[in-house]
Amino acid sequence: MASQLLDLKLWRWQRYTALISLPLVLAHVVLQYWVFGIDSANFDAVSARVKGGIILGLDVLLLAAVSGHAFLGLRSMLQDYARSSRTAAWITRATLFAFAATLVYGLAALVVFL
Amino acid sequence: MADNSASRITLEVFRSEKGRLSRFDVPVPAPASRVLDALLYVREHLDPSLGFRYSCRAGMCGSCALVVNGKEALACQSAIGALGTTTVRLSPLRALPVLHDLMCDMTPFFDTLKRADAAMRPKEPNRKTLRVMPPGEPHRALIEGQNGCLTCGACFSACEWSATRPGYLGPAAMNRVLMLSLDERDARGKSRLATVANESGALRCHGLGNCSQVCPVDIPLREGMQKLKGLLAMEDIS
Repeated sequence: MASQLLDLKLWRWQRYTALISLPLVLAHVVLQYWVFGIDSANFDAVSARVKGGIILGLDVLLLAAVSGHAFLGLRSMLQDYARSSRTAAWITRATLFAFAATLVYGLAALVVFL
Repeated sequence: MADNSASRITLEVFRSEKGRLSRFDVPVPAPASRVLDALLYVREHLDPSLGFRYSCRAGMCGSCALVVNGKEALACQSAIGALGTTTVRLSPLRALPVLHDLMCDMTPFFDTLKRADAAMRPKEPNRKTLRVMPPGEPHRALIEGQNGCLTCGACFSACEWSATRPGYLGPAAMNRVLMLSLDERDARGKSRLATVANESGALRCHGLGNCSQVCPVDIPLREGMQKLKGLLAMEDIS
């Protein structure tokens, strides 16, 4: 039963992250191409933007939402091929670990700019 | 086949004992002749050992469900003229054990209905009849689309998961759960959603829609699964 509730929670989060990702990706594209301009993507310019706080917040949310959606989707696809609940559980652990690793790596990359 | 009046077809039928197809030359009196008519002709005139099921012959019982030229259908409702070919290949429903030729053991399919508890639990168990929902009543509109399932097994056969994922409930059982969870006469109501809120249920459905394509009574099964997923996303299921 506990694993079923987890499956339902993760399935719901796949939907929530899809909803959250859409406006964040749109905002990211608008900011990068029209507000800041892609030609100004050098270290100092990006660092100044990230230190501003709002951009950092948006970037962290974008990282979490998009990575979360991607890895939850990957989990769902891989579980199509799981023939036992034990395999399915390992797939869940592996994809959540990969998501966590991606999150940490992305946050570390952002910290560099601070 | 533009004009099938008084023509002939080759009926290719999977034979379980032989493990291969048998071919029969069958006359087709009219384009509207059904696949079931061809099967009955074979059994009466050519091979009395041919095994297949039928009952009502009117598309109401679901007994004659099988696979016609690769697609699930009712034999009694499949007009030979509409198939557009002079070779008609018949095989048993997929994802179910074959008993004999075109007859399957329907037990795994009916088990999905039992596991999903797909039976009405009336709020008023002592009442002899269910409250009638007249046409136009909003509660009826909620469930009308999901009503009318023949439990023929066509959707179960067509679903990609029925054959490949043991324990998968299948479209028919989940459609019934959806209908009952929305039926205000049912005592269990939305608590039924817990039976499909797992990887053997709605969470595994990818929405391909094979089920909707083959349902002989045109129940919008794929849309029903979407509705079910929407309920799972929003309702408190514990």
